[in-house]
Amino acid sequence: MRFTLKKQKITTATPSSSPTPSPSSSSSFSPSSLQQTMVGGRIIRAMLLSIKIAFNSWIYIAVAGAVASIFWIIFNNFDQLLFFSPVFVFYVPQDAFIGFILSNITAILLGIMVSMNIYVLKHSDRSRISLTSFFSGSTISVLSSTCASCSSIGFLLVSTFGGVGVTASTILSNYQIPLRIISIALLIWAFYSICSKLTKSCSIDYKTDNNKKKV
Amino acid sequence: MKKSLIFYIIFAVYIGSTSTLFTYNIPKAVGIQPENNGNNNNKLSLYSLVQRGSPLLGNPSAPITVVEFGDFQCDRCARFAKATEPQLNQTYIQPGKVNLVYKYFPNYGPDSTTAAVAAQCTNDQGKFWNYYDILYKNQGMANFGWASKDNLKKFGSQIAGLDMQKFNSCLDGQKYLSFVQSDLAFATSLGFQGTPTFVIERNDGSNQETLLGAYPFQAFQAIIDKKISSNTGG
Repeated sequence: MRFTLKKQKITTATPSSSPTPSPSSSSSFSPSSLQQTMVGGRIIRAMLLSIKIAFNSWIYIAVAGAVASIFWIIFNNFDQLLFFSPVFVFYVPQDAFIGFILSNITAILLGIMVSMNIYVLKHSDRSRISLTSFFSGSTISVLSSTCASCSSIGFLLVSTFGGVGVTASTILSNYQIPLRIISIALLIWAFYSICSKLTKSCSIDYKTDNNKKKV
Repeated sequence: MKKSLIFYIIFAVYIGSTSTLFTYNIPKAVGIQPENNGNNNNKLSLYSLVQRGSPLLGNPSAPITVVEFGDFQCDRCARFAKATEPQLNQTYIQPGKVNLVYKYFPNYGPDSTTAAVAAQCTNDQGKFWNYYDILYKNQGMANFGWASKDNLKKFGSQIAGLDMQKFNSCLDGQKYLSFVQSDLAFATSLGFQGTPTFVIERNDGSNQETLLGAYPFQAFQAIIDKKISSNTGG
């Protein structure tokens, strides 16, 4: 019963997620700005619908929460905001505030992305999934959250690669915020792609899932 | 099912490599390696540090010494200087319980060394800690010219009572270049690989604990209070 309901939602969402506006709407409202707004609205609707579909089960919510928490700990520990020893301390000094906000966004996006990817893999017939933007986004976010020059990573880079290592660690240190913004952009792109997969196609096999559960 | 397996494998490898990076980058509260401890206990004693000309803040007879190994281009060192050092100063340094010694660990590139030489030049005139505050307040992107000689001279001119002629000739002549380089070699010999690194010890160089990273005040407080109570206890 639950899956029938979801299928109905997908059927209604499929035409609306198409980037081409319907003839009736384009004939009555021709300005391009209005069309863009409509396309933007459809994308947001598709994204919200995808989240509803994927997070209908608590398992996917738990996976998302666990992954987001793991990355939150990693980012904040790399950023030297979270310490476990000699005492457990978490603090956000003024200079780290923007970085902290960006790392929170990244951690949440990573949680959502991993969970939705698992959902798509379990329910989709497609053999190829696009993980490039997901992995590149998350890699950049992990790298940019480290203070390369002031940590042992910078030491390793400099001692291994000499001048190139100095340049690499300087870039990683100086452009932490822009790199994090790029990683968020890549993750949003990955999120958009996975939403398209969920709402544009009808390849989600709920029957198989139902059968599996019965067995 | 195969697709899921591939994804799980890729994700496991990814998490594995991230955790490796995590353990490599994690801020550490560790002791100095035993093989170095014997040789460096004396070198890290307050007497030895001050004798060598390292800048000192606070009462020289304070029972606890905090040694900071820092770089003026390091943003985490700036975080310590802005957020933690004032609290340490107010709670422990001003009451005479702790003193703070600065050691140069210029690992960000050539401008770090120049800034360190300039800072040691101000120490000649007893103005190191004023210069320390000014440098960290004005810190810019590493190796992008904020710590050029001209800018370092401008920062020096902001300190009331600093003899600029002496300072300029000291900086132009690179008077303390070998001093800074020996500090760097010393930090490397201790096995330190990042800035800021702190050694918290009794002022004779014993009972050392090391913090690698921009730890907040609470972490210092926990270690210092423990050392003070162990000092008074026995």
